Amino acid sequence: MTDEPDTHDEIARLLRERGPVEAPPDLARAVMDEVRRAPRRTPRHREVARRATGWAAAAAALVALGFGISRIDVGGGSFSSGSSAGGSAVGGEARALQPDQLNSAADGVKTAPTLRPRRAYRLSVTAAKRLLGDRYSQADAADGRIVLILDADQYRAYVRRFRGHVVANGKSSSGAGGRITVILRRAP
Amino acid sequence: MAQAVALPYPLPSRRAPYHGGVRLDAASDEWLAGRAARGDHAAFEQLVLRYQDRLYTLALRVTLNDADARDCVQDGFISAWRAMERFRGDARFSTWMYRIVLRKAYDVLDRRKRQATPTDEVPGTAVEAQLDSRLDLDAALAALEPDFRAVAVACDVLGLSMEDAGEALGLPAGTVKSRLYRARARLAEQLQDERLP
Repeated sequence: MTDEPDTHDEIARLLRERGPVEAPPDLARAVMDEVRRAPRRTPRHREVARRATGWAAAAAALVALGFGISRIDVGGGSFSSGSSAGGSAVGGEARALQPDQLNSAADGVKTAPTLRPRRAYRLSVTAAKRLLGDRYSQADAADGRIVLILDADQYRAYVRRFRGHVVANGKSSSGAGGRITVILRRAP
Repeated sequence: MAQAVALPYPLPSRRAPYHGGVRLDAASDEWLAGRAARGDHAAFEQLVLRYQDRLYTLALRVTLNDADARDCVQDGFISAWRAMERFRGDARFSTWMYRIVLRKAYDVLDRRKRQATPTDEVPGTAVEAQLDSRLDLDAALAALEPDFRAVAVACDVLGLSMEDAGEALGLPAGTVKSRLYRARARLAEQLQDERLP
């Protein structure tokens, strides 16, 4: 009898022992040469959307430019409180400094209105503790997110560490004890 | 006798390129496929290196021809590269690739049937080596119908589970199971016939 389980196991073992055949050594190179030459087909609607976005961005830039030009104070004409030419100069300076900047200048504290790049990661609390080490804050974690403002070197190091975690575990990784958002921001 | 000296750092592997601080050969398929979908050649190359042997085995066992198998794998990877943006990660990258390459292999078989040309030599079936069980197995495998051969290769040679093989072959797991059973039975019969005096 050939259809006994033992025979089947024996066949399976023989096939398993054969294992994968090694591909020709130049196959990967040939594939990559073709891939580099092959244009990638993008869906038509995406192409249209990309063009539309480009036009919209250009239009928005023009509108912003027009608005900016219209707000330029030429010769202090819009300031009634100023007296003659000196008044316009004072008026111009006052407008250049916004209230929060004035406060921060007075307090000596930099308010950093434009924190530059940021990255957000959603991951398990356990992973966050491991990756952040001493920087993990229980109080912040209670809100469901931790924001770290870092200098350039630290920012790069943390981004690399978090990226490594994402690469190793995938986006769908989950851990025990809930999830948390960690936001890394680089100080300007 | 020369004593082995421990290096202070591991020697970099030839196939371990770094990419933005990430070791590509340690990256998951999902991550590499995501990068490749955004046009990253290095990430795609890593996937090619990772799966070329298995895909080549599948194509070779189905088409029974080196050149056709090579074409199937090459065309399969190029089709995948072009369609990478549509790969949503519902299936695993490996399963998706098996399906693409298998479709190419079946196309080759259909083309052959239409042209009615005899199959080229079966790899490893030299007459003088018939006693070698490995070659007997190759010949027995080659004698199976392509559908049964594909199932036997996917499950037994490549080690896929019934579910994964079903996904790759576009078949329900139950069908994979019954085909695998019949494929093994036929292989056993053929091997027994070969070994009879």
